[in-house]
Amino acid sequence: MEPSPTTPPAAAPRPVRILVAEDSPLNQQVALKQLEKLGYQAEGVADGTGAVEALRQTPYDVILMDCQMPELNGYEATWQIRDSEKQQAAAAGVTRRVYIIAMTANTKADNRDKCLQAGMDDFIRKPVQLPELEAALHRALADRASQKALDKVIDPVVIAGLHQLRTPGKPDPLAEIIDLFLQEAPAHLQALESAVAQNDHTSLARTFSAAVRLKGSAMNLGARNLAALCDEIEQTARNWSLADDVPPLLEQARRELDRVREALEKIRSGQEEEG
Amino acid sequence: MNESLDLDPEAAQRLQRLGGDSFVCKMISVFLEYSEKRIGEAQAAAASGDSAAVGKVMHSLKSSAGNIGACRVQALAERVEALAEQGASEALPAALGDVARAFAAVKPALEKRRDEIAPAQQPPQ
Repeated sequence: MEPSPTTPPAAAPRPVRILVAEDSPLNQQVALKQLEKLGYQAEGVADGTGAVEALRQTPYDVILMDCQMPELNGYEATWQIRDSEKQQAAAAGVTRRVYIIAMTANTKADNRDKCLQAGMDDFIRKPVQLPELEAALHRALADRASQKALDKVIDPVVIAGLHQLRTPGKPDPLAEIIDLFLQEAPAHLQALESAVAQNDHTSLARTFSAAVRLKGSAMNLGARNLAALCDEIEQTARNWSLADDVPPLLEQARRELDRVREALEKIRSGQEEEG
Repeated sequence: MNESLDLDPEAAQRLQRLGGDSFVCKMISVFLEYSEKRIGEAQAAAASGDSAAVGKVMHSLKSSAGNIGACRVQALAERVEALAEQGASEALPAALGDVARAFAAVKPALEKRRDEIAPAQQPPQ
């Protein structure tokens, strides 16, 4: 057998795009210089409206957001950005989420809790020091990398589509489908494994039917690698030896199911946070 | 007024390490131009009784002054910001006068520093 075709080739890394929203030209230029020193390309805007507009033009990965700005402040700008991300997710299944780092003097009016409540992801103190900035960016990029890894296991478009089905006052359909999957999928996989292990006259039929069921569960949630593995198991069982060629695929399916479970639990806890 | 009280040498060193001489010169110019403009705006806002606008401008001036190391301007701007938040509008004009005076005092020191660095940057004409 050829190696599984389900693992896509690693894409060339795209440079990280950073936006600095800061009304003081001095602070903005210092922040841009700090980012340059850390090896990042960045652009600056002078207020929240500028940040919202710039994000419409360019898919920035990270925004360094001053909290107090004229016109639209950092909290309001973040709220608008998160709102438009939700609308995009509902309308087109696009699940982009920019990582927002607040920059504030830590005062009664501007503090970590307020920033996180407004939808920002992290918080650094002003005046911004290079080591703190570097650490915050590392956290931001780790978050982006784990999101990408998650997207490979579970198709975000499918999740966004399910998320859209939510109606106020009713149980969340996405949470229900996730729970159902977590219940059913291991049973389907176990049925597959025992059919293959017994290798008698009913094994082939049982293998097909369990593979189809597991694939169906996987497809419901956009677990694309797992669904593709089910196809491969079915094809291999049909054309090759059940006892020799299918078990390595079952091993792969079990590992993929672990990844799917982990990803779904993460999505589910994100849902609960959203309320 | 004593220059050492007005200017934090560490801030200048930080900027120097970050971007070198030309960057320090540029940041001094940006700060001088920006502060002059913003202090004028704050005074106009105070005269028209808009405490909230005064507070916002001083908030921004405070952190800019912190970045360049203009400590007195930073501390006085912070004081005005606090007064504006408390709604002490009658106290604002005098407190803004202190900010303006602190800025006027630190301005020649910053200009001097810029001029000391600048010749090394630009070959004589």
